[in-house]
Amino acid sequence: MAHQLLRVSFYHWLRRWTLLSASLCAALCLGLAFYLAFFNSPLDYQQKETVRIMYVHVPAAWLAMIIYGFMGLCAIGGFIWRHSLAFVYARAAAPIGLSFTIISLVTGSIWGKPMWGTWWVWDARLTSMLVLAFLYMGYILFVQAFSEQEKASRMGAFLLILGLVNLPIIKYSVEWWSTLHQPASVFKTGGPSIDSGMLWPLGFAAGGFLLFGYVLGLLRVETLLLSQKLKRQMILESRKELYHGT
Amino acid sequence: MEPDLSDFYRHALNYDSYVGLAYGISLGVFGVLSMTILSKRRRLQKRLKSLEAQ
Repeated sequence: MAHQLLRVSFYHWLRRWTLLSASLCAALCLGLAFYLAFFNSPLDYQQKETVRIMYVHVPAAWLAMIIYGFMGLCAIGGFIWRHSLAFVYARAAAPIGLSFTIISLVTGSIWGKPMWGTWWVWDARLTSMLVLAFLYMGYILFVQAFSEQEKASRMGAFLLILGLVNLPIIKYSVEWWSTLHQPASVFKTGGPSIDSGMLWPLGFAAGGFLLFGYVLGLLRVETLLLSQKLKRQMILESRKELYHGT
Repeated sequence: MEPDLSDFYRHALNYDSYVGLAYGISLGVFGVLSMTILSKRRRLQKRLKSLEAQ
């Protein structure tokens, strides 16, 4: 099964049949989410208008964690099945995950100022999200530092696997430590505790972000595969020139 | 004695700008990311095509 998923032909099949439909669904979900968020969701009795930041902040944070988890699985899969496409998937996802992490941190900070009276606190949830951003940045810089792609991907995969430990820390930080950040109100035992008028736009925004991330991921994989093909082509051309020159 | 609500209303007016800032920055990040990926992809496709045409 994993071998099938890691075939380049499977990627091309996905790219061909899902790119347009996923793009349209992402646009639809995000349009609906932000329409509901701005015109149909109730205001929080204390936070008033600023509660609308939640519809960007929370799905971005979920996606930041989901994408890192996906990259970690790709790294593990790459070691187990020794398939280079797994590492390509991980590399492709990294800047997308970093963008979601930055959005989550920045929007959280903007939300924090009017609600907590400060842009930033060294609270466990915020700090562990910042660590996630550093892990993403570290991985991106690390894989770019090596000239040999295969070696870079393998070494970077170690970093990804080590960083996986941060995901449960982010998730449970609000329960393990006393934090200024509020505890979970959607994924918790006993079901979501937020109003359904807020839950729907949140769900649509999360679905839209997921599909948007998927579309960008497909395009990033294509870019990396094109870059590999270009390198091979250039080597072939230089060999031809060398052969004809001698 | 009536509570002084001026500070509350001043904040309430500012709330919209915090929401606008958060959405604006998110849109900007997504825009930059999408444009970077698409332009790099297009550049690579062009280079590959010209190399194959040689």
